[in-house]
Parts: sequence; C-alpha cells; structure tokens
Amino acid sequence: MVKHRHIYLLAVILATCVFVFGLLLGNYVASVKLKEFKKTEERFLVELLAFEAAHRVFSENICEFNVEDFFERKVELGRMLTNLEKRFGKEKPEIIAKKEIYELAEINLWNYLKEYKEKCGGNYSMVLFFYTNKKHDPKGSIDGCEDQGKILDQVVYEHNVLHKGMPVYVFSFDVNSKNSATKGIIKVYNITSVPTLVINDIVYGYSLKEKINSILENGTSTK
Amino acid sequence: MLPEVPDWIVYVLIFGGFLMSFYFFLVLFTAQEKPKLKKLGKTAFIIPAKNAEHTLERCVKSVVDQNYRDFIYIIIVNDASTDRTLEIAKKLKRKFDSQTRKIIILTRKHSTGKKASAINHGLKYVLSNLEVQYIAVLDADTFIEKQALRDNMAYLQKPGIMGSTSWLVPYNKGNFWEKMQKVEYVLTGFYRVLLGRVSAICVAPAFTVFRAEFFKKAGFYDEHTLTEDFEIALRLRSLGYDMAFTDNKVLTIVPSRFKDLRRQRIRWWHGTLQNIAKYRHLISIKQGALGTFFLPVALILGTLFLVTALFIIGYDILFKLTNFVHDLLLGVMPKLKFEINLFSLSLALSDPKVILVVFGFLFSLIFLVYARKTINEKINILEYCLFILCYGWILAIFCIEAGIKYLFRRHVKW
Repeated sequence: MVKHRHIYLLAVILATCVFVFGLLLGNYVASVKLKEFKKTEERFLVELLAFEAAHRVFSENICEFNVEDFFERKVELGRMLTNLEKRFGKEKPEIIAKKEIYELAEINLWNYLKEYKEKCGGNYSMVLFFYTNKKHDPKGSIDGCEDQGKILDQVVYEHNVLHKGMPVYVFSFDVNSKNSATKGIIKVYNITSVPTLVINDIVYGYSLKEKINSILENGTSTK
Repeated sequence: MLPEVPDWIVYVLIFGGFLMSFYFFLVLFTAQEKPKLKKLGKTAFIIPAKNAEHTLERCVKSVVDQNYRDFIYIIIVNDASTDRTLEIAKKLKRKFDSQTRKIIILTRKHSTGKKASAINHGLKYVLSNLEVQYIAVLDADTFIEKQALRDNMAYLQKPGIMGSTSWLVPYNKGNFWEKMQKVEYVLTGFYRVLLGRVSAICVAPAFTVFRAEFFKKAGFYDEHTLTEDFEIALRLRSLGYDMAFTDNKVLTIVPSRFKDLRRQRIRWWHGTLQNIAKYRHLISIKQGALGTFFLPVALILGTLFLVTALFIIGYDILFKLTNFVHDLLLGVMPKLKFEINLFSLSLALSDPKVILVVFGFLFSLIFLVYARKTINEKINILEYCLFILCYGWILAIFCIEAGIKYLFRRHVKW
C-alpha cells in the first residue's frame, strides 16, 4: 500500500518515467525509419551506379533501359525524405546529409532522362525546382518555395496521374546544398533567387499553375 | 498563414495529464476501510420538489424503503409547483406514513426558482420542530438504494466527518446525451471515490447526508450561489470538517436535450467559479489534498487544461482550414486518395506526442474498467470513445462559455 505523503512524489516520478519512455520509444521508431530510408537510398544509388557502369563503361544503349522506372523510384524516395523532414525537421544535420545524397541521385537521373529524351525520343518534360529551407534566406522566402512546391505537385498530379498532358518529371534542389554537384547545377543555370524553375532548360521565377501548364504545353509562357 | 502550435505547449499538457492520472492511480492503492454503522439516529430527509409529479413517488418510496429501523421524517417541500406534485405528496403521505416513517408536506406559495431556497425552507422546519441527528437532502428526481442511508451514516460516525454523499448515475440513459452523461457520471463518481480516499471531497450533490449539528454551526444553504451543493461542501471544509463518499449507487434524472444540458453545465461551471473565488483561502497546504491538489490542480488547472486543449484543437482546425483555402487559391486541389504507406504511417506514429496520447488513452481505460466494476454500470468502448472524442469537448465549450459569462459578469439563470 502507498502512503499518502509519498503519492505526490511517486506521481511525479512515474509521470516522468512514462513521459521519457514515450519520447525514447518515439525516437527509437523514428531512428529505425531513418535506417530504412538509408537502406532504400543506398539500394537506389547502387542501381544508379550499376546503370552508369553499364551505360558508360560498357557502352550499353540507353534506350534499352527503363530510365522512367528510375524516376518513379526517385519519387518514392523523395516522399520518404519529405516524411522524414516533417518528423525530424528540415534543419537536422542527418536529414540534410541524406538530402545531399538524394540530390546527387537526382542529378544523375536528370542527366540520364535528358539523354534518353534526346536519343530515344522520350515524351516528357523535365522541371528543375530550386528552393530554400532556411527561414530568413536572402535568396528568397521559404513560404514562396513551399507554395511553389505545392503548385508543382498539383501540376505533376494532373499530368502524371490524371494524364492531362505529357508526363512531367520534377527534380528539386536546395540552393543552400553543400554538395558540389548541386552547386554546379546552380552555377550552370545562374540561380540567384528562389523559388526558381527550369523548365526544359529555360529559367523562370515563381510561377502559378496556369503559367507552368502553358509552358509545358506550348514550350513557352503565354503570360 | 497562421503559425503552427509549438510542440512544447502540447508536451506540457500531456505531462500535466500524466501527472494527474498517476496521482489518482496511486490513490487507488491507498488503504481504505469501510466503516461499520454502530448507532442509528433519527433522520430527516428534505426533498425540494418543484413540478416533480413524474418522479416524486419513486423518490419518496426509495426513502421509505431504506433498510433502516430508526425513525425517518420525509419533508417534501412543494416549491410552488403548478402540476400535481402536491396531490401526489398527499397521496404518498396517506400511503407511507407508519411507525418509523412520517411524511411532512410543506408548501411554498411563491418559488424563488432556486433549489437552495426550498431546501432552507425544509431545514428551518426541521431544526425548529424536529429532534433529529441526521439531515439528508435529496432531489425529487433522485432515487437511492436501500443501503444508502446506512452506508453514508457509517461514515458520519467517524470523527470530523460532517457530510457524506454517494455515487450519482443517470436513471435515464436512452439517447446520446444521456448515454454520454452515464459515462461522465461513472467516471466522475470514480474520481470522487478516489478523492474521498485523500479527504478531498467537496461537493454535496443530489443526495447528501449531514450531521444535523452541522447546520446549527454553519447556517443554511447559500441562496445566492448557482451551485449551492458545491458551496455548502466548501463551507463545510472551511469550517475544518471533512466529507465522505460512498460507492452506493444513486439514480438521478439527467438532462435529455442538448439545450437543457448546456444550461445546466453553464450554471454548474459559473457556480464553481463563483465558489472557488469565494473560498480561495482553501487553496492551502493546511487543507491537505483538497487545498494542494483538488482545488488548484484538478479543478483550476484541470479546467485550464481542457480549455487550452480545446483551444489548440480549434486553432489546429483553423490552421488547416486557412492552409486549405490558401492552397485552393494557388490552384491546388485536395486529393482524395487513400493509400496506406507503412513508412509514413509508422513515422507519423513515432511522433512522441502521438505515442504519449495513446499511452494516456490506454491509461484512462484502466480507470474506466475500475469504475465500471466498482459501480456495476455497463459502458462500451464506443460510448467511451464518443465521450472522449466528442462529448468531452462539448463540455469544454460549455466551460469556456461559463468562464466568459463569469468574467464579463453576465447573468446566468438557475
């Protein structure tokens, strides 16, 4: 039996224990998920490298590969990364590191899709989306980038799921990314502000859905 | 765009909830012996009855049928009823008057509309005309078990205890509001069982038995408050006495319509705030669990807890709504697609806030099981989920409404 005078103290101790246990359990499950993402990301990278080896080293014909299938898997990886960002926050170093690897994979895939389109006549559009995750970034507002991301998601949904136009493949890059490949692509397109879109190699600023659709359909903006 | 609710506010609320839950969980394991009734005494039941034609007979019969050999006076205070209450009271007198039971009918021509006034009318009569050791106050729409008087009286024979009350359970439990009140009353009753174990009972609801000497020392019921049952109990406590709680089942009629429930709860909360302000000196270490836990933590912080939680949920809904409208303006349509993604689902469930809320829910089920078992009332999991997800928040809205009315000194009817 518990004595009255001990109840308050015991209640604080037990509440603290359960509270801490809940926090630890949550973090444990999340760390397991982080490892799961790491494995998926590594597997994806290995396949990309294998593809690169086959294509570059052994000069296999790119048209024989299903490059678009890689894109679907990149989208899945991107979704996982977005979920991890929601759970851990966008500024957690571990997430930033994972994102940099993801961006490297994106750049490789973007290159292959570009080559595939040129050599094999792939019927799709490619969009590069440059954004920031920093709250007070002089390059542009995070809110604007989030809005642009939502608009792109909607465009992709209409084109790729509802089939309202040719498929659209979007590649997103954080302008503050430390990896040299992303820095290189930023330099190539002279990206100085965000949000910025590169649609079929032409640079555009913040764009509404109608404008993007118009560019995708006509090859240029009507507005 | 609205900013999101900071996580730390949610964590503080969750921790507060755990603290209260564990406190009561530990109280469950404190030693508690039921006292045995050693001596009977003459008792007067005061039944304030205003338009109680449908319930009075059952109420009086439950008193007459008490397993109690000593004398019971049943004082029916007909509070200017406009229905057949008086006629029924007279019929009951003819039917039940006996060697150990006597019904006395007092009729008031004008009602103040407050129950306290009718109780006081009966109290004045009892104290000046009858020689009784105990006075029980019973609502005309409330029915007691055969052992109710004996069980409560057993506690009143313990030194320092001046009042004893029982576990109220709705008599009517047919529609949604009644079923929700059943869950509420079962849980509240169990909560009071636990409060009783730490001498923190401070409410004298529909059926309460007092030692007659208490009214001689403390005076009558306060006719100016909206919750005379809370006021009299706080007064009892402020005079240095204690109250007991028995797990005897007392059936009472509860509001069946939303409108009536709202009016009742606003009155209760308004009255509660009135009386906490009046007896704020009871928030003190000297008052034991009542002063250090019940009044400051369970009642005041508990209310704040509910209100804050409601505010957060309301804010979250507003946040999502503004986001939704903002997205629509961007041309982003909501996508109604249902897909189970194990990764995102498990990641969302790994949020410590979600885990802790699940822990809290499971913990509350332990209390529910204990409560059901103790009072022998059936509550199914669906009723309990509806209570938590829906009814509890409706009560919190009433609580806010009462608080606003109290702060702006708006009149609340009895």
